[in-house]
Amino acid sequence: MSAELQISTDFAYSDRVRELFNNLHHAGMLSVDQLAGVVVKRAAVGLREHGACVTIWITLHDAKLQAVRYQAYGCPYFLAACESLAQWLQGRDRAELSQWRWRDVETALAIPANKRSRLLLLDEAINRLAND
Amino acid sequence: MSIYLDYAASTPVDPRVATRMMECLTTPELQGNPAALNHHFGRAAREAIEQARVQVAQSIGAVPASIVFTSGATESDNLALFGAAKFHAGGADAVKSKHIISARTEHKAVLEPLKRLEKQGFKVTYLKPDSGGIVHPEQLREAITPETMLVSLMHVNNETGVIQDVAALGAVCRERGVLFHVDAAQSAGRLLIDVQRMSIDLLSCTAHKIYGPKGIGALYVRRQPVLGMEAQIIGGGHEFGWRAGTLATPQIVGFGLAMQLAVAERDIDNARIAALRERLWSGLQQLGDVELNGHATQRASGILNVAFHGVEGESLLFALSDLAISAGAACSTGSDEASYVLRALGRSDQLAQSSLRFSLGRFSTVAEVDAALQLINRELPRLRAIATPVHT
Repeated sequence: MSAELQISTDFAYSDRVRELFNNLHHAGMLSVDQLAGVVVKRAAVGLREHGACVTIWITLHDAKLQAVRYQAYGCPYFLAACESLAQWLQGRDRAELSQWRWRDVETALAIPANKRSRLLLLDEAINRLAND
Repeated sequence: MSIYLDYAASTPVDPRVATRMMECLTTPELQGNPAALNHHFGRAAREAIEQARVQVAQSIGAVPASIVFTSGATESDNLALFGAAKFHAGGADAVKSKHIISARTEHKAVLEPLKRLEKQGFKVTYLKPDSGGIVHPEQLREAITPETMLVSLMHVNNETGVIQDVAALGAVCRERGVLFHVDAAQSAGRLLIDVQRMSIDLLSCTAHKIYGPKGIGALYVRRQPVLGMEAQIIGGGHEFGWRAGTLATPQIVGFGLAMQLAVAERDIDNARIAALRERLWSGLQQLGDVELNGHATQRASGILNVAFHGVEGESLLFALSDLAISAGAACSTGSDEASYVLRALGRSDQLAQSSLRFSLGRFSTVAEVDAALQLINRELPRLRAIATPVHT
């Protein structure tokens, strides 16, 4: 049977989305101890009223990202993408931030096209963190 | 662990119904075509069907000849709306027959046929319910014009469980000489219905909401005085000429028994299910920042629609994937749009999107409700803690 004639009965999220959603290890805020003596950058994008928003905190030491935390409101794809981004950010040089590609996350997490705007929010957050 | 709390979408088949259907499927003399009345096999199948027709008719206070078997409530709604509209639009009173009244909170099985009728020249008025989801008789009275030919309103809303006072609404229609169609997919068998007393001219119902099989339903069509209706499926003259197609004997027999059982056990079922619903609601309230969607008391025993503040609905639904629950009408699952029903009740898009429907039924248990609460109690605070504060 050709692909376009196959009827999908799978409304589930990808395994990677499930894995990330169930392990949002970087969710939260940075504690005072974590913030002592380091440079903190913060980016907040999106609106709850629009269905998704996120605040990302990073700490920098010698232009290297140390701690990464986020708080996010949105669908499972968005939360999984936030966690994916946080994992990617950990330990990078600040100069590397511009290398993050939302399309790579879209592919890796099998995020549907109608959720693409969520990834663009993260792209905006990364740009702010990189250029602030 | 997987807990079924989606009875408003569909109910499991009652084992007694399944047994009767299996008998029907395996009894050789019931295998004939029910329209083949010239031989024993056809007549035996037809007798079984006519017995089911009596069971369905009795459950709503109707005569058997007013019951037209269909594939379900969606087809019944389509037949009622297109059938009545087209029949009456083509007659001598064609000018009068171009206005229909319904409500914004109706099921898509009513709204989409109405949209098509609008494209065909009909004018449709969509009443806005109050914040509790109630359509008031005075609203209906004001909306009826000399051109109105049909009013279509649901008895119990599938998303909120809100019950309309169909007797009062029917009285307004009867007083003004307007046909009254009721979508009773969620209420037939579950609530007391008397089509005579409630002045109902057309009523849609289905088996799979009352522990019967999927794929079978019925449309009640008033017989006295006879109501004109144009068939939408033709080719054989079955079902009094209103719905052609070979009748599905096992489905219809299952439907008949399911309806009979639903009526016989209605009071016991409703009392037990309402107690479970209150247990669930009480537990959810203890979590805080939750709101009931729909009228607080004028609602069906088994449906609980709750708005959860501070959490995104799709994520909550996903986190609760061990619970078979719904973010809206089952037919709309897959869409991340906020429920149009909840928005019609004045809920914001965000709050409507953060609402979940729990629906309980005959086989729900205290242990299931408690296990559901335990899971929600674990996941809801987790997602709320992750969520970005409103003002950052």
